[in-house]
Amino acid sequence: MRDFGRLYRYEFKKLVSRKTNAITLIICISLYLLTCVMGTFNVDEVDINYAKALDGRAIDQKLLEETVEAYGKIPAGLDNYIISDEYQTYARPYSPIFNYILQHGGMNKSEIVNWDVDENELYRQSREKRMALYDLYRLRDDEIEYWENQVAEKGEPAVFRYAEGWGEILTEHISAGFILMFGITVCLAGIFSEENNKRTDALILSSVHGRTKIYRAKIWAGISLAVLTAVVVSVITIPITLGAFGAGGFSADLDLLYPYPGNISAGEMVIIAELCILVSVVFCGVFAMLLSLCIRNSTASLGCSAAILVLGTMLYMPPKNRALSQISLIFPGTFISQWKITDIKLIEVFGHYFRSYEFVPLLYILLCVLIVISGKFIHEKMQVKSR
Amino acid sequence: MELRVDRLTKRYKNKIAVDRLSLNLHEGVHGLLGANGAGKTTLMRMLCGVLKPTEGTVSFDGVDVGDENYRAILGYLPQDFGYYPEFKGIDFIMYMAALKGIPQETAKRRTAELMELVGLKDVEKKKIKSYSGGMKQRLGIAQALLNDPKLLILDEPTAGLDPKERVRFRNLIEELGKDSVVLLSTHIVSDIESIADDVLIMKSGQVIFEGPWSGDKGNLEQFYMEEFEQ
Repeated sequence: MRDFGRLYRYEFKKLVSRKTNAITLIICISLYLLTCVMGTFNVDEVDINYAKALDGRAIDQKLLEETVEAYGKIPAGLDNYIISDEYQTYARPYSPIFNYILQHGGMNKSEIVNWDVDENELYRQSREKRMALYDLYRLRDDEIEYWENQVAEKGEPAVFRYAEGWGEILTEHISAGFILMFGITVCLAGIFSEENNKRTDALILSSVHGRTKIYRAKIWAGISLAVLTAVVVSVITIPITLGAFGAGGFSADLDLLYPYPGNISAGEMVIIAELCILVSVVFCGVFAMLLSLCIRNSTASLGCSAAILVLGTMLYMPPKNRALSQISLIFPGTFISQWKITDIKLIEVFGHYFRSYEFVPLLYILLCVLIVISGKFIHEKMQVKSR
Repeated sequence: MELRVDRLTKRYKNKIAVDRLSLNLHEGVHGLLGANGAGKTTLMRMLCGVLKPTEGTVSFDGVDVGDENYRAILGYLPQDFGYYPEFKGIDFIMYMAALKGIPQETAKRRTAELMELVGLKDVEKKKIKSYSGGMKQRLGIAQALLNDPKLLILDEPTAGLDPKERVRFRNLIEELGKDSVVLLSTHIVSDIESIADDVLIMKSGQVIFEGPWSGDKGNLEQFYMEEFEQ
């Protein structure tokens, strides 16, 4: 065990002392931070204060009437009504509710202003929108029943909560998650192949622990680097975003931020998203390590890993093609960068339904285990061939 | 103490690099001579278990080359020995000690001894990338000796060493040969002439001469050239 500990520390040191890796990590963390910090430029204290004033109010007949009345004071026909005095004075305090109506109802801006307000009609339109989405995604009846039960649990009317900080984290982190996955792929694509490139493989393979413990040490060092990078980035960026936008609204319904029928809060989804990104980063790293072991050429293994990662972000499977759409989730680039964390297609396993953010990370963990086990056998049989 | 090699063969698509080679080596220094492409490095890689033979077996005191216990008594310095540029010399030796399963305290003591022995004590805390070629070679020799190996395989160990360092190295190997099986391959005939208890000459994957060498037999280099002309 002590030998393993020492080997692990040296393998980790090798990883972080490689100039390429150090530069890559610095760039990735900086880009991630920059994405997060740039998001804080959207902070508008006026809008935040207006939204906080509405916090806790039910989106019911009374609030809807106030909103429509306020927007009704904006003169018609203005090209950019936002700069008008009427908007700034009367409508702006209700803009979060107006946006809610836009997102969840079936009306456009001018229709809302002229709407004969009816709370029940709004929620009926919201239901129709959901049904259309279910149809687009070709959901089965039991899946529709599942989601509608979730909506029923939340109850009506919806309650407005100011949760902009948590919404901003979701937007920025999921967008930037690809940066982390790519960075870790670059760092770990050479972990085994560098021994061949540097001609240290003969020394390693001829030593006592050169076939077994060193393999485990490298794998754990790689996984540690992936986990540490993802955690450090989250620990730094989450306080920055919450500091700028406010930490309130952890328990706000996610549906207030992004149309989502599930009964889950914004804060809970942030935690889930961070864990999904973490597992995806680890999976990318483990896959890169396997390629490094098999191909034994750093450039080639980096090229293959990066290509598969980028392919995942570009791979668009139309939601109506259910099977292909769900198979594409095996690509972390698809799962993270295309926002499949909140995919409404359920995965059925032995009669139980799993949401994508429940199933896919488990799948990634299982694949990591299989990859690591396979790699062990490959490493034990490794040879130093002619150079 | 015996290294037994039985009909060892390494066959590639278009070439037989080692051809049904059999050896029994006991304590002492055994010099391996041969031209480029004779199969010396291939043979040494198979003796160290880093290359799988097509046929044949290798064992040391009955322990097969694939066994972890074989690697525990093995010290190997490859011909094209690599390193980690960002590691300090002492870090590299301690890393190799961890790979060889040497406990930490013992590793510290052995590292200090070996760095002194190979003349790298003053630069042990400097990064390997700042070392000269000869210093890197001495570092390689140090790592090969870490676990007091009973079987020491050295492939072109004196490459890059200056004459003074070569003499020092020869003395060290001679001393080690008293308690270990040392197989030393080189192009520098004088390295073997002075210290080898016996000489093996390889050609086209086969040992064409095996036997003790002493001064009264004449000039080894001339003998080597004559054997190759036959």
